[in-house]
Order: sequence, then C-alpha cells, then structure tokens
Amino acid sequence: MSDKRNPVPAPGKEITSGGGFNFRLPWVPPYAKARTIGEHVLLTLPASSTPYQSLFKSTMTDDALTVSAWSASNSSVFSDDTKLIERRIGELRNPASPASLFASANNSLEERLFDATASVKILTAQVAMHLDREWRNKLFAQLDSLHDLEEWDPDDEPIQAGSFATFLKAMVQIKPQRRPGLGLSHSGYLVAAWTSGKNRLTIEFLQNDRVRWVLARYTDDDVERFAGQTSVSRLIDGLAPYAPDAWFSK
Amino acid sequence: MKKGADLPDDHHVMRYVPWSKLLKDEDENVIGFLAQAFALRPNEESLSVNWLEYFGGDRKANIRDSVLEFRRTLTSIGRKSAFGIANVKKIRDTCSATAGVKVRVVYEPSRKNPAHSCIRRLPLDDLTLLDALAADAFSELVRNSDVKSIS
Repeated sequence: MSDKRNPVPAPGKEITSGGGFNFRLPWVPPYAKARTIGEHVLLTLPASSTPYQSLFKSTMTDDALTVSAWSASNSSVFSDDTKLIERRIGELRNPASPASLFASANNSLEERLFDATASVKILTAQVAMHLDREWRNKLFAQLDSLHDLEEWDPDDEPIQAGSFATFLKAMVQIKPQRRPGLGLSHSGYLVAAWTSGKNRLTIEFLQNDRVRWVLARYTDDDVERFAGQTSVSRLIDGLAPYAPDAWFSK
Repeated sequence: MKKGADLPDDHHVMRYVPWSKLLKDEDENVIGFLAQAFALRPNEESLSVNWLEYFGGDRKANIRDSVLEFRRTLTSIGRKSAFGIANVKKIRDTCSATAGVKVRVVYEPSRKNPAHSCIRRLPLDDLTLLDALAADAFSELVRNSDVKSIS
C-alpha cells in the first residue's frame, strides 16, 4: 500500500513522530474495499479461509466479508471476544451498501484518497482519549472534506500519515480551545490555521515531528510577519513571544 | 500584448485555488487563502494565473469569463473551490517588501488558454512571502459556485 506516489504507510508499520511519541497502525487483514462511517473503518475482506468467515459473512452480499473495526472503544482493556462483538454490532448498525462493495476497480484515485483518510483516522483512534468526541467528529469531517474526490486537485498528494501524526502530537501538547481550520500542501502535509480578525497563524505539519509556521499580525495599516521551523516539542516555546493565546484561546 | 511581456501595473490576475488550500475556520467557513495556495510544485518554475483584462469586458464580465476559461481548461474544478484576484503592482510590491524578491508577472498564453499568464522568480518555499501573497496581494476571493455558467 506504500509507494512513492502514495506515502500512506501499510498497516502495521510504525510511524515515528519523534520525541518518543510513536504510532503503530493496527494490523488489518488484506481487504478489497474499505470505507468509513464516523470513527469506524469498515473493511470488506475478500473471500478467504479465515475461520471467522462464516461468522462475519456479510448480510449484504454472499461473497464478501465486512468488518467494522478500530472504534475508539477498541482498547486493550476489552477481551478479543468483546471486541469481536463490538465490531459485529457496528457492522449491523452500519451495513455497507451494495454499491460500495462493488465499486469499480479502476477508481484508483478514490482508493488512494480513502486509504489516506482511513489511515489517519486509525491514528486518531489511538489518541482518542486526548480528544473529546465533538472535536474528533469535527476532525474526521474535515479530513473527509479535504479528500472529497469532487474537490480534489489531481496533482496533489493525499494526507501523509507522518504529517498527521505530527499534527496529533502538537494538538495533544497545545490543547487549543479553538480548533483550527485544516488544509493540505501539495505534498500532503496537513496545514492548520487559526484566525483572529485579520491576524492569522498557520502551522504546516511535516514528517518526523517537524513543523513550520508563519503568523501575521496587523496593526492599523501595518503588518508584521514571523515564521519559524522547529520540532513539535519546541513549538509552544517558539510561538510564546507572539502571544499565541490570541489564536488558541476562546 | 506579446508573449513574455510584463503585464501592466494596473491590471489584475486570477488564480485557481482548490478547496484544500482555502483558509477556513473549524466549521469550514471560507475566510481566505492559505499560503500553500501560492506555493510552486517542485516541477514548476512559475505560478499560473489568468490575466483578467485579456477578456476585454468590464470587471464583472472579466471575472466571469476568466472563471469559465479555468473551467474549460483545467482537468477538474471543485464546486467548493475559489479564485483569488490580485493587482499586478500589488504582487510585485508585496514580493519586494516581504522578501526582497523582484518577481515578474508575465503574459504567457497557451494554445488552450489565451489568457494564461504567470508569476516568475517566486522562491520555491518562502512561507512568509507566500502568506503575504495569500493575505495581502490576492485580497479578493470569488467562489466558484457563485459564478454561473453561460447556458
């Protein structure tokens, strides 16, 4: 699933965000089709020899297997049986539509956008305890919106999981009361922006715990701009001289 | 105007900005442009724009005709995307004042798009300059959905 054109790492691969803050994408079985509903990732598995196949056989089709996985409640405190039941309930609540199960095989851009979005949603689930549900839902909606196929510039790259891991680490550290608007660079780096009147703070989240930021402050007809590049662990200190509470606080 | 000529100071250019590079608040209300909307790709030497006055009408008609030209020539244009409009002199002054860069805004028509122009000599990755272009030079925003097609 990982190649030069699509920087989304394969499930199971560890993403290092630096500073001892690592994410590991959960292992997922090979899947033929996947989609998301809220914070759930629905995987349509190809017919295979898994012993659970008969248990999971989709109610919508006869030859595909649909599993709902990695909700925020998918914690290690639950037994495998409990997780299995939870997934099954999720599936029954949100059955995949027949149309989505039999999507054309030639929609590779759509699949790339989906894969990228699903990967970062899975990452989010791993730090779900640090994000309230409202923000998580809003964040997922923003990610879906950024990767809307109808709005997509075909020369751009989907979001990079490493960039998103850096973003999550920054948000956990900053804990902004005001949530940012989101964008993407050409290379698939997540961009978060806060505005207060005309004043604006923009942070671009790079791989490996690196960020670069630029801010603009207006006074009458004059404007001051400052920019920097640093690690997430130094971001708060780097912004401190510019009173970032104007953007982060309500 | 000849290909390669500098556009006049008092003229304007328009750039297409996809949804992912619009400045939004957390509720997805569009506020303006991200700096990244004006970043060159590694394989680009100049920033593509349309010359508004090429179309020869009044301002409103020029904006409409330029948007229609973008729709005709680009691979895909999202409904939620937008277009930024900037004065040519303002672009040059902004680049000069912010980064000491003397850019050229040049008429560069293509066979597909006779209004095509470009901003040359932009640094590849100067975030401060890009932010100034986004906030101060491209100060007018037109939503794609607000421009009706001619039926």
